[in-house]
Amino acid sequence: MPGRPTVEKDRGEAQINPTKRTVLEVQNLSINYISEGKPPARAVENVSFTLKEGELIGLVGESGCGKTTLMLSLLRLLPSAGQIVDGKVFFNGKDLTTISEKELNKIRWKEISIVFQGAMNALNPVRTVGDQIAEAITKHMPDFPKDKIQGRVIELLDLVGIAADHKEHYPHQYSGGMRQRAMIAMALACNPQVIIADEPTTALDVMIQAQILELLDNLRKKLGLAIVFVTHDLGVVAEICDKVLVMYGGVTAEYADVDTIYNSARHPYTQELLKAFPDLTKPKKKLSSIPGYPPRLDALPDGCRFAPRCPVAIARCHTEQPMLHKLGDMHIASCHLVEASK
Amino acid sequence: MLIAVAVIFANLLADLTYNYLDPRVNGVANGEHNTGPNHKTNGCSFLEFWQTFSKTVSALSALACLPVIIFLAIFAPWIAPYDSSSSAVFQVGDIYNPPSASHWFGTDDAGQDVFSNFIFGARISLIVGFFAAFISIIIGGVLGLVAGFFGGRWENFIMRFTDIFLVIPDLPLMVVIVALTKPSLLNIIFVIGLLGWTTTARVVRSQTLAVKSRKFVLRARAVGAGNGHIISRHILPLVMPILVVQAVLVVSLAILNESALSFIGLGDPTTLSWGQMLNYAFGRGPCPLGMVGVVLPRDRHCMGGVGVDPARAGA
Amino acid sequence: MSKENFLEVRGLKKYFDAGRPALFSRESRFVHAVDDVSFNLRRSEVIALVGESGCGKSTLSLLLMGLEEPTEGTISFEGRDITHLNDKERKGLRRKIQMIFQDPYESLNPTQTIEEIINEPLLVHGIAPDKSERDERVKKAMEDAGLKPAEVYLYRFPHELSGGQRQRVVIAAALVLEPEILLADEPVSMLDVSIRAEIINLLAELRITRQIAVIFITHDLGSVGFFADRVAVMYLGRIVEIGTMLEVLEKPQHPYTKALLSVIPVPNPRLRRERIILQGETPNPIDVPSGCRFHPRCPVAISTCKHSDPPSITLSKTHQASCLLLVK
Repeated sequence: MPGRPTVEKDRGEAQINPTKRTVLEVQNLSINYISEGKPPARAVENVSFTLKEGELIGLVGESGCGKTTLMLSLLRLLPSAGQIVDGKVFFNGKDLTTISEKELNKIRWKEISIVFQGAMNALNPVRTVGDQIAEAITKHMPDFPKDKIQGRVIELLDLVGIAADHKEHYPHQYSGGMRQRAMIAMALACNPQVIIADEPTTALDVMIQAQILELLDNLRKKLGLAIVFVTHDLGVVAEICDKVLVMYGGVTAEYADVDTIYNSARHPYTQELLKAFPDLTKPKKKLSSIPGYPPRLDALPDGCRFAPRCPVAIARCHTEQPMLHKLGDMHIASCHLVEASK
Repeated sequence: MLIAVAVIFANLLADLTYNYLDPRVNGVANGEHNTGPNHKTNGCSFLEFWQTFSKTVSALSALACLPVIIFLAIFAPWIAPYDSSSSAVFQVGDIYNPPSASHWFGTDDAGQDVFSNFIFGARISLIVGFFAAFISIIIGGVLGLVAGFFGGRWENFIMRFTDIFLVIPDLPLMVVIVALTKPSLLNIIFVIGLLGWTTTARVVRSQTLAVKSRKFVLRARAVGAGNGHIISRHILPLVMPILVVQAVLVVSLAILNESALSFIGLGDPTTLSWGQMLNYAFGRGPCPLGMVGVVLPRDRHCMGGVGVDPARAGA
Repeated sequence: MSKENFLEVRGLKKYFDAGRPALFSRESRFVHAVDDVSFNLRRSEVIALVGESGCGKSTLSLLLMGLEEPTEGTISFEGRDITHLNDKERKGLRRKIQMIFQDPYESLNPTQTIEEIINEPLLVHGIAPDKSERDERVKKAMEDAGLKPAEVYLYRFPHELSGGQRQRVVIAAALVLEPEILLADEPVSMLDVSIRAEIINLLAELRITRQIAVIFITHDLGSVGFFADRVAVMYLGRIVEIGTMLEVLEKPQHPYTKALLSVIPVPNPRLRRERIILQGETPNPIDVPSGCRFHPRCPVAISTCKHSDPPSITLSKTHQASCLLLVK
């Protein structure tokens, strides 16, 4: 039956290979936004995850859940009001939160690069795409041999599936999907080990989205890239990620491999979010919504941040913030009910 | 000098008003799309406006200055220590007096109190400023709205017409027109008003274009609203803030233009305005004002500077 | 009036002048935004119009609203031809057909209060001249749209509301005219996932409580899966397949529908499946490919597809698709 699932395979578990090297490790990271005359807004609190070579982690959450803040903090790109107040970010054993700005600049883009949301605005409209990719190379690797730059640009474009003759074209001659590909080519310019992709497929059509996802999946297989995929789309995460970190109001709701998240989620937020997401394989099933709205960072609830919207909240949830409970080898959830059932 | 201060303050006020109104005009502040529900409320309340406003020293002084001048103008006969309209009895010793307790700014060649003249002069300057600006804003606003909203042939015609007016240097043309007609107050108001609308028309047109392309205008059409309703309910409220800012700027410009005209002797000779005072001071020898020379911001033609030396004034 | 021809669209075309290709060319070129679209809508039926950007679905919605004049074809409503109307007739019709827009941040005037926004359609149409009657209708529309209690929201400004609430305001402003058809142009694509379901459930509820027919325009078939009765898949200005929800989801016949369905993400990693990823993007609607317009990207195209435009093949009473491979 075309259109319906034809191949059932459990790829989720297989990808998490313990022998692979850990490239990025985030430990208990907390970020506050400081503004004058107000108590600090706790934008991200106590978030941890690890990322191994060739692995794809999905950072999932609704708008305002702190996923963009977390992503920017990995390379210390936060606006001045945002401060890392606790925790560490290890990249190949080096703590990125303490090293000097100069050393960090050696890592930015060369080792860890970012594909930003909105490829439309991130490209300069008056310069050719090839030029802009060449600039990304020379800017970050000043001693790259000049005569080899054009060859490298063509190589990069080929890697992301753009024909070499589009090198001399301007961004407006590119379609939305091609612009996103060009952005990925720029991120790959210095052969990074980690790519952070911030909502790379939002605002693209499903078919183009599928093309970009396929590209990212191929790249990580071909180049051994580790990818942090920031998104709000649970369907996309299920399609390509190995691990998932579900965030809510700045804290980890649940962290597990992709199969666990989708088939045996323990946090009520993950469960509710899955119910709200339309599933084409189950048409005629009514969607359920989560009443209420995500909390504002300047007015967080006292207890669990999800408690006001939680369908199964108990009295304790409203007064006490839940701990991160370890439920298995690779499964963490922050919910009082999980503890009770342990 | 006070003209300069007033103009600078008016500009400041305009900037601040615009900064305050801007988030409202443009709908949502940056990032609102992503930050989701209730995360941000724009500074729409007067309280928030005041909080930003009160932190700026220059804004506060401008705010203090403007009502003072308006107050002076309205209640001139009661405030001014001497009546400047009547040629009061004076003695030879009264002319060119330095500032003293009885004459704060000294006296002029006719023995009149400069401080009183200054207060009465505010009246004419403000009258010309406000009325000329009113004419400019009405013409510019209507033309800009029509051009921006209806587009097409109308827009082309109106904007080319505006361009023609825009390339004519204002002041020389005003000088010519006023010189040809009778230099009465009414004529000056009309000349300044009829020549000062071009920037307003352009600014209003571009804002109208921006507002017109927004989705809520399409929604209003889908609801069944006609052009008149859309202009009055949807376009105008969002063009208004810009129009107000523009009005403040045009007022200051009109005051300046009036001063310039008066200064070169084309003012209404029967009235006394700030420009007229400068003209007299410049033309009739040393000015008794105990103030240092100023360079007026916009003027390149004739009002370079009036340097005054208090010591000479006494002589 | 039979139930069948509540809203009927026949051979609708909309070409936009794209100017001349070169300075001295005789003929100017046209964007074939909507190219021969026919379908009908029954009372209180929900039809989903699905397609990628550039397939003409937004132009189609503007044509149905009378905000654009069609180049050819007819639209009839309750048996009356409404393709070309004068201003007065059009205004009367607007009470029957209302529209909801994609971006609830943009489609509300930031200087109006919620009360003014919802009251506006009544004023424009001169309905309920009595103030208290108007207030009553505004309140009812708001509560039907899920803004309860209405008093809390009446005097707020749009920026004080969340995205979901703003979309409810847009819906309330449409409901206040008591329309019979609601045209929803991607009403949930700008909203958070947990809020989307709310709005879709609201629309599903309205078609039952108010007997409103809904034309739901979307690029995401998943979001309408449970409540649309029928699905029409558009490609390059034409409907390539139309059928009931289950027919299209379970037995898609057109290769484009098949590909489109295969790439919609399914939130279950155990169901990762072979995706039919079409290469390239939708061609420019100025140069529509000859023959079947899908053939350059079609994974199963045969040589005849290049020069023969496929007719609409009837597969069942409710299911049609335009593909030469279906011709028997």
